[in-house]
Amino acid sequence: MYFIFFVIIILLKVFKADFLIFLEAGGIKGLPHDDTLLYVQELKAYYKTPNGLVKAVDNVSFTVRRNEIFGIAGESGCGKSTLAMAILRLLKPPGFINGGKVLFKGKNVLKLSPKELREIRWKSLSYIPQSSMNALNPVLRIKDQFIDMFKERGIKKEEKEYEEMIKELLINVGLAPEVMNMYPHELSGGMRQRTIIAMAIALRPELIIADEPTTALDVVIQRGIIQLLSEIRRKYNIAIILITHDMAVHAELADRIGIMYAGKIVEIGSTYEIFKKPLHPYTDALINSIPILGVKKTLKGIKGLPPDLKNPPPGCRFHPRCPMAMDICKLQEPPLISINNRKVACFLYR
Amino acid sequence: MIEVRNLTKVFTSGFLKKTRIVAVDNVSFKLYDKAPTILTLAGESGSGKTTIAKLILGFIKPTKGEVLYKGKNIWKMSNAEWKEYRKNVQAVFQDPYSSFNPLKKIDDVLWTPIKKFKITQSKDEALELINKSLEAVGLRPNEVLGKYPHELSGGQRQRLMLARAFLIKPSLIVADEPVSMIDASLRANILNLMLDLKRKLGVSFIYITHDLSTAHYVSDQIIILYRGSIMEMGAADKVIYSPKHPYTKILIESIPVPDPSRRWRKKIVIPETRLEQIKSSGCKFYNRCPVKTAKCITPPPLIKIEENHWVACHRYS
Repeated sequence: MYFIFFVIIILLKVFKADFLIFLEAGGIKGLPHDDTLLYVQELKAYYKTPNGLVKAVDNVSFTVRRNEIFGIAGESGCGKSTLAMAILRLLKPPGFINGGKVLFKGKNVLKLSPKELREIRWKSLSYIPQSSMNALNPVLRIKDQFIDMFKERGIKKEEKEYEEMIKELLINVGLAPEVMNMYPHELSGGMRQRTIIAMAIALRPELIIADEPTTALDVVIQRGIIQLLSEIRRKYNIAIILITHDMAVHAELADRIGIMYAGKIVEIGSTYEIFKKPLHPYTDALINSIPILGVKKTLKGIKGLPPDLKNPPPGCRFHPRCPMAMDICKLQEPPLISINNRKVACFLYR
Repeated sequence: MIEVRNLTKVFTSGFLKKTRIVAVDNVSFKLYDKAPTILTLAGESGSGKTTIAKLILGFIKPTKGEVLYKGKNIWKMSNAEWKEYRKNVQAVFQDPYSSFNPLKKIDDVLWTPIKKFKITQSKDEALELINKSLEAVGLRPNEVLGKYPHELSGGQRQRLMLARAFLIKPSLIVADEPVSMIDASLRANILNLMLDLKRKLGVSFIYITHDLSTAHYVSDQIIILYRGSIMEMGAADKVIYSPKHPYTKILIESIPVPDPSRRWRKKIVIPETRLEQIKSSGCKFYNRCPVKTAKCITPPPLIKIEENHWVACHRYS
């Protein structure tokens, strides 16, 4: 077994401005706010398979502002986890990035050298992975996993000082300080997830990418983790990209949501608007397919299946399942257009 | 139709069977066959819901208590009765990967019951039935037939098991988390399919889930389990709209609502229990209960508080 360094990646904090990229980022038309922390621009992440290219993330653009929780919603196979991996540069072959930019504070993450990338890991951009069990080293005590991380980042301290830091972190995520002397298998799923969150915030990053952080947990524990994510965001001024298929978790946490379908972002808007008045027919169908406890309504599923990404349908990828499909939808791909503060990729709103 | 009486299952391990885990602790309930019913066993991981399913299906033998099908203990059935039981009571599992033979094409999963229970007269009729049942669960026949289990996704395998149950048309389906790996848009279709099977074909379900939202959507009866014991049981609307047990209340409060205008206002803190040996003399929920009293160190009985509504809590005795 070797340490799986899944947990966290980091970008730059103080850095000599890479002038060219800086100009490029600033010069892009419609860059919406100067509090933009992350700007993903026309990102393409594909997988090479014997039967052809799988376009898991195809021309995806969005921004994440400072201190906001940006939700990425979509069903399995829509490319949301691939998107996270691509942004973090953790995409492994046969996956590869086929173009686009990931500008974090104006600097293109995709162009950083491995050394630059490693230098900044944990400090500006961290990661909460899907499976907390796999993210912790099973043969190291929690304390030693933290210390390894600190040492790796060049924080050299006395054992006592380390312990003080770890204690404070554990208390902040609602764990008892004694947890630091335990091994991962002694912790419950919720406690492991809290430990991972403590590691993710240890070096005060500006952005955390959380991939299905609550999916494997029981609801009562899930509620605790949702509350915790909301707290650390406020306390440490962190922005979070929250990736989950669970719309209820988005409703609870996210400020804005991007809806993905078959490798594309089909709609971006504030959480309130997305739920109250979804624009894209897919978003509408998705929201109508979720049961609400205590509300008796007939659920409507979506007919058919999501497309095979090796061979997506021409035009709008949702058109074979769309109740509103028009002729143009079969021929042309709808661009992501702005309507007021929202964005939608659908010909209904031309 | 099915009655579970004082069902208890203890798993032992270690030298001289020193480690004892009580997975199911003295559970009793009935599923009547007057009208087709969907009964939900709801609980978190470790609540014993899957163990109860396995006990009902006869995969494991209870330590104490019995499972009765039409009044007959399933462990005392004759071969013919047992075969009848296996036809009438079908299972759908969480990740059905382990229930497939990896060397056989998935067609086999559908053909075996047709042959074994002689469901159709001719091969054409059988093919038609197979196509129909695959489409009913949202699978494209040409995409799945002729493939091996590993070539399908978890969600596809789960739907395949539902298709298999659909073509046998049993009187009861024990479905263990049948939609947990399926996306919301397809999940709604499967839940509606369950309701259809109940209404049109009179199939009853024991639906096992951790998800109370889907449970409330489909079920007539809900049983809330916690660490192997029934905490609350009754008509679905009664349990969901007026929960009585502190655990049920916390469970319902913890479910995020897919509506941003109804976000949680207050923070609740529920102590987590560690993965350690739990001494279970009193109420199982004692450690985490916000309203525990001195009485709670003795096990609470299941008390009937109104028609079709029971709760195991000393506050109601």
